[in-house]
Amino acid sequence: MRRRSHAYPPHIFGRHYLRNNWDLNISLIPVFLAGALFYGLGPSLLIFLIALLGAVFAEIIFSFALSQSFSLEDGWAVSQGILVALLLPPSCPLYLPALAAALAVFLGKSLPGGLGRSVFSPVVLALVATMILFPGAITYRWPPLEEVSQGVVRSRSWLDHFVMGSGSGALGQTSLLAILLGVSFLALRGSLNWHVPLMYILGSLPLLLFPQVDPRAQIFACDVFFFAFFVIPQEGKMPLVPKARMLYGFIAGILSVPLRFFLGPVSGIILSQPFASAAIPLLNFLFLPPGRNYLFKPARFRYPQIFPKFLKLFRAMLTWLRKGKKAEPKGSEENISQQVSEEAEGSPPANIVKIREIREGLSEFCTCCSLEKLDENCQSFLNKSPANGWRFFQAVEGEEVQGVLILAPVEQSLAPLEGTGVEHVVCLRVREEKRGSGIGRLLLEHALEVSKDKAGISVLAHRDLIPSGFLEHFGFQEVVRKATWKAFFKNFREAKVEWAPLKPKSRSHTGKLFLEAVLPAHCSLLWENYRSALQVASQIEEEIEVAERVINNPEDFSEFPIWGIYLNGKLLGSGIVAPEKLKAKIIQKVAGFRQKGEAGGAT
Amino acid sequence: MSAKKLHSRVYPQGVWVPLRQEATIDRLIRPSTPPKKIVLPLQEKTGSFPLRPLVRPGISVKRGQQVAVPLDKSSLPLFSPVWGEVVALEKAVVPWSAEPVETIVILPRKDEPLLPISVPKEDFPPQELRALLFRMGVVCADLLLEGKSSPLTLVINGCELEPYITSTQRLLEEKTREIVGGVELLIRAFEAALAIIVVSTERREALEDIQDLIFVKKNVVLNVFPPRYPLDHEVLIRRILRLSEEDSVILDLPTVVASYEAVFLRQPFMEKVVTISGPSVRNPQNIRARVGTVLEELVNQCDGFAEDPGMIIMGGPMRGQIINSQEVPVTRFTPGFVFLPKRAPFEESDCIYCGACINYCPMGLYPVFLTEAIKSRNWGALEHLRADDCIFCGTCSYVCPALIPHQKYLKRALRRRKEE
Repeated sequence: MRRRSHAYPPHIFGRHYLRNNWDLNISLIPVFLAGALFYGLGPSLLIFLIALLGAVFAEIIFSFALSQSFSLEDGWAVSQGILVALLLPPSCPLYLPALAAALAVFLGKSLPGGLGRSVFSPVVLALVATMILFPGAITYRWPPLEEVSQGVVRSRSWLDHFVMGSGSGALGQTSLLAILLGVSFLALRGSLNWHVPLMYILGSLPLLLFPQVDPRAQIFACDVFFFAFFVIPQEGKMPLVPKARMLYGFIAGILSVPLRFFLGPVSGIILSQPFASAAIPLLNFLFLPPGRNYLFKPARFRYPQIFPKFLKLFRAMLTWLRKGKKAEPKGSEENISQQVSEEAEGSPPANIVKIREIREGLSEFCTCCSLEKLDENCQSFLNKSPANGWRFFQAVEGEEVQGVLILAPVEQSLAPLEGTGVEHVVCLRVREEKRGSGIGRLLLEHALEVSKDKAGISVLAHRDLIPSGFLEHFGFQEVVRKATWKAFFKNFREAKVEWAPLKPKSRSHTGKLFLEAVLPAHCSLLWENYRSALQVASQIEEEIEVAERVINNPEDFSEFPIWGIYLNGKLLGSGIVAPEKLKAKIIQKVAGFRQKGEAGGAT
Repeated sequence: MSAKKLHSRVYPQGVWVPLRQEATIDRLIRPSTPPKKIVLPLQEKTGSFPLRPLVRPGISVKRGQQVAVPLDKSSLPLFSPVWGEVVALEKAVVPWSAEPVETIVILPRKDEPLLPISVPKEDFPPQELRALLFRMGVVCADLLLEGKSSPLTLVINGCELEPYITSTQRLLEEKTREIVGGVELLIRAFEAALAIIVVSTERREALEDIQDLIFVKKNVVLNVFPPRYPLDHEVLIRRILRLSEEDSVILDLPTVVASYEAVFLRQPFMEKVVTISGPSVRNPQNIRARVGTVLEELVNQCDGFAEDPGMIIMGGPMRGQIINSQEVPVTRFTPGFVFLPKRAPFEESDCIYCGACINYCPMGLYPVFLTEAIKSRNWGALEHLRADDCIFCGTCSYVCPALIPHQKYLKRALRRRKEE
């Protein structure tokens, strides 16, 4: 995830807005205690702990598997576990709490792709799912209002009901007193959301008008109160504006009346929430002022990591299926490699491309081929003569030169493969508009043919600058990753290449992060790499300044970084990496600084 | 849709940001000790046109002597606050400018009284008064009066809603007479019909003092706002007072005090009350510092740090700017410096659609959806969601329970759009 930049105000935050979930958890404790008193401490504690562990483990596992952000420290997963435990009857089998809690986390957060993605309450979804999966496992027995003890019917007073409830249904719905205690705690902490509960209770009152219904049973069964205060007003499962919230609560309350009448108290109430939740987008639409209809366009959604994996697998299967005909390059997302693979199937370039070796007139080698970037890199090689074993190839289409390849014996080249007797591809360039049309492939094939009698051929290339799968297609293997560059520069120094000085920028900004580079003007490869590094840096943070430092002394090249992160002139990290890794590394550095507090310190 | 219809409530819902003024609110403004070095940047604000220096290294200057002249109306003349010698004219990095700014560095010799300024006649016509205020480096009235219609209302913004900062509040309590005198003066200068002093304090003594003084005056009114952030913003003040851009001018309190001192005491604007506060400072207080004093000296006057400050903020924590070094000079627009301890890094998490940012936004915007649009690169939606109305108060970022920096995203997006 992105780190918050310290550079932007505000520099302080109302952290108290984060405590909502923990407040909810604490306010549920008296409710649980009342249930434990009523049903016995042993079974209720067992169910409570199983549900809690189920929710927490599910959160850890699913977050890890889907690479989503954890919701443990903000108390969300814990609150879901507790709510599930309090909504289950204490007589249920012991696997149910864990299963329901895991389902709540999975259906409420992991599957939609985040906390705010779904309008349905996770707990309710989980309970409905368990009811469907295990019909009959959850039974809320509707108890008698009068207790039959020793043959004598003893009717209970209102106060008894208020304190101890009517003993119906779920673990958390025993005592109205406990629920009100929890609610008052929420109100004291300032995290009570009163719009929805109030209107929900108001909306569910019409049930009392039915003559068949005992008002005492309905009120003191506490299910309405428990739902109204703890389950329904969850953040993100409500409309955004207070007015819309009130209407939403009222709709849910009204819906609960027939459902409770026909389905029974608890299941009726459970079902009232998803029905009302379906109206949330409409309520948002109505109560946010007009002209914002765009709001309800679904947000762009990236499914984490699973989809690319499937894609990769699918492509691998395709490759495997085709393998019977001909060897294919590995699948990748880039167009270039696809074009390469198309050509590999047998379609040659449109015009006939010839490859010729040039032995004389090397000074015109570059000028005649008129490749834009070629001279930067290759002109220095043109001093070498064919007598030393250097070979120069051109790909000619008609009269125009479209690509160049230079082969050298490895002892004289820059690659760290000395003494192996292989040939080294010093330069392989194709004109920009002709890239992807197979010229590079033809050139390399030719080079392979020519050097058949040699020990082999080596290519020094950067992974980001060639089409992926291109070298693998010819059977090249990656030999060195990191050490290459040091050897590269070592050899460069010995070759006494001249370095053109660049105009340095002023570096008077202090206390900022610098992306600094030494630019070898002759090496177009490094130049491109540096450009991509600059691009990446400018995308990440404003604080990263870019400076170009020029070293004219060749002694310094041995510890030469293509890029380096500097703070006040001190080198903090350097190396050569792909843009993605560079990005990660810069972010890490910046974060590290801030942690140390060095960025704010005096220089 | 008119602003009135969009915001039916008189006071928009703000946030009670804990103001944490206890450390400095009861302490008198302390005069600063003679500075060891004066650094006068020739560009004092973001976007203002740089001044042209009138001195060169080696020249000795007197206290109150003008050292730089403005080339247009966006900047004000600059004065040397000490007797001393100009040492250098060099480029230095300041937090309010991306590029290094030319500065005049003065080494004070000894503390001597103010350079006597010739006293003109007492009764000024408004034209001359305005010219005098500009000459003294207080305020450029002609710039503020461009495109205004009469009758004009003058609003004095005495709200102080940034945590830790108390410089305006202390001025209000200690310089009550000067403020009321300055307001009368400014009414004459701006040819205003009415002046409204807006304060957000709940301290009764200060309010009663002002009330006593303006009791007999018909064209000065006191208005007390609830101390809710961000009601001190100009846009919100105008909305609450039912004023429009054309018929009102908003000035802040230090300007009023400075204008009084400029006209009645003949003292150019070269001293500014600055709050040095925050948990990291050992002895937080308000200091009447010479403009150009380096922050490090002010911190030393506050007995240094109790702990290593992780963040140095110029301005308040809600709208201020993080600075990296203590070499920053005080300018005429600096309200104070806040030193906060180190903070653990934290990450923004996914939006939970709690609606807090929507419910707290004083401009009635939808920061959630703005951020969503920016993240999905839906640039067309920015206009649709009135992104240009944003006043960058930072309330959305402050209240967000998922710690999403809405303001940062919007600022970046708008800046990118401007570049394009």
